[in-house]
Amino acid sequence: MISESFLSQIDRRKFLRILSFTGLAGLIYPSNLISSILNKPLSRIVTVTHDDATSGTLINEDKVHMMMDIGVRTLAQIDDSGEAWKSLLPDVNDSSVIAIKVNCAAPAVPSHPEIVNAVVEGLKLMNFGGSFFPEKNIIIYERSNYELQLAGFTINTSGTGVQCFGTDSSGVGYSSEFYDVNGSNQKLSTIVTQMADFIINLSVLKNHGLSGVTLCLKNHYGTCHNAIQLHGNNCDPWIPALNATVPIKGKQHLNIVDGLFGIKAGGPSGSPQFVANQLIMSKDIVATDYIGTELLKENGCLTANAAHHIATAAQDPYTLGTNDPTEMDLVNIYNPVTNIENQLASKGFQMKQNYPNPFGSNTQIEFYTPKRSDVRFTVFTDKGQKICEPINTTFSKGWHTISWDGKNTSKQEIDNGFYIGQLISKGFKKSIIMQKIR
Amino acid sequence: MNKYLLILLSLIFLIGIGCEKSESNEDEEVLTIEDLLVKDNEITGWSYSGVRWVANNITELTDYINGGAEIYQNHGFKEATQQSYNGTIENGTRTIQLFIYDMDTDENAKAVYDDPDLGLTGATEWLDGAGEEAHYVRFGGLSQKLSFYRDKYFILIDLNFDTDESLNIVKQFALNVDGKIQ
Repeated sequence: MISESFLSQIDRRKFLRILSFTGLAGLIYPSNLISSILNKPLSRIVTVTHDDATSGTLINEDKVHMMMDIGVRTLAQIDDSGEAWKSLLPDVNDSSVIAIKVNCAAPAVPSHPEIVNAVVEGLKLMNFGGSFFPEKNIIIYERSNYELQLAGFTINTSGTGVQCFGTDSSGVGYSSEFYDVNGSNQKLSTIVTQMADFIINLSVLKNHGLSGVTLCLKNHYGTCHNAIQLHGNNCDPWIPALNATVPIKGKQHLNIVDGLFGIKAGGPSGSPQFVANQLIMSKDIVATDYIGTELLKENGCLTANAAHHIATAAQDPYTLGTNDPTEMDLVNIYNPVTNIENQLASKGFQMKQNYPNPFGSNTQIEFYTPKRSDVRFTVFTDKGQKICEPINTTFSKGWHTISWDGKNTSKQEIDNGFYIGQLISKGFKKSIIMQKIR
Repeated sequence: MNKYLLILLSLIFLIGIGCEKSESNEDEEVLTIEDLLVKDNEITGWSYSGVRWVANNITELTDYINGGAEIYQNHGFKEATQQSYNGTIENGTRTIQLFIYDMDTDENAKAVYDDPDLGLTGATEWLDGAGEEAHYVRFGGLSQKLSFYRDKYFILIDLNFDTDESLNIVKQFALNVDGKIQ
């Protein structure tokens, strides 16, 4: 099921690197091992960074579409883009309504329309018995039409095409029902309570003078009717409490931080102050915000330590996710190359993820050749250095299995870490990520 | 006859009072916070863009600047306005956002100016510039922020571009507003 085919073009100069959370937290043991010891599921977080995503203040739309596609497929661990999106939205069907909560509080640093378009294009790839997901069932929303327009969105309430409107739009409004948000009675947007079956939280990378940071968790302050009541004590625990309300918690399945640009000081308003060229995505909203906060810190944000609402969100009674790096399966993707999977898949070659993975002393890789073919399987480090070439021979049509003992060409056991396995045949090239642990 | 003379004198007296009151109002000439804004093209090449807003209470301010409003509330916010301007720098259209906050007292205005939550900690002092104190931050080619205070007013200017030339324009905006306050 897993095959990171976007690795199919390995460019050593712009090499795609996959690191565990150890790269971030400085820990020395792999997260999957910890998970197996603790028997706890890991929260998978994917970051995709591309140096060419922006140029000055301009956004390269092709690049961000590719970043989104790769990120979602990596997050879902499914090659097919449409299937990957479907897997992130459990039981979605072609009559579902998907709301995308954008953040337009700072018109100069909003959830960029280019990123939102990439999400929309991805959702439209979901195939249901031959028909694709209808774009009219997608709602881009924010608190007000005014904010959406300032950020570059076009209001559309026509019922055709992608819908885009604020809660203040005629006929929308807030719920009649109040929701208890840590003692504050809040009405929620009817886009969330009545219209949407799924919410995709698409936030921005910004600091906040009170809550420390404003990422996915804080984004829903634009979903409730009286957010000003929720700002005491660095917004803690009002932010977790808001996200724990039934409509939001129950419908929100994917969290994305638009980290192309960021605000590190004086936020949440203002102009871009640094370039990160990054998307962060996860089903775990707490883990998403944890990683986003780390990124803000790396870029000199001084208020990030005030963001204790993230830790609160991880704890009882909210338990919205994890802020513990040892419970995260973090995949960082740098400068991914153009995906050519679809062109190659049509030729009938297939390659599966190695099993077991992570592996200790041996792992196996299954592949299928549609005809008699020369096949070469090569292992590289994450820096592009060749480790070994376990297979370079001719195979007949059908399924085959490669076995690799985790040793280099000198028959020495390689170090723990992530390695790229690349299968090449005529007209076919595909790569997978393999993790070696002792 | 006396009756008509009395009415005439009364009318002259009332008109006189009316004129006196009118002159008195002109002398006082109460400015609104919007009068402090840089006018359309008052700085050559910089014209209004977007919709101006005025916030007369914290709820309205929150509607416009979201959670950032809390900082001003904490320091006695009374009223604010914002206007955006578009102009050209280095062949590209750039946007300046000018915020003027009436903080009710001089002390409140300075307190906001010094508040680290505004993100201007470590800013470069602009000596002999606008206001009683002024400083600015340049964000690596992307943007600039400048703030100052004068009397009860705190002013924040944000430009989505960063060059020496653009900094001069931001300073022109600051001096323009400062001149209107004085």
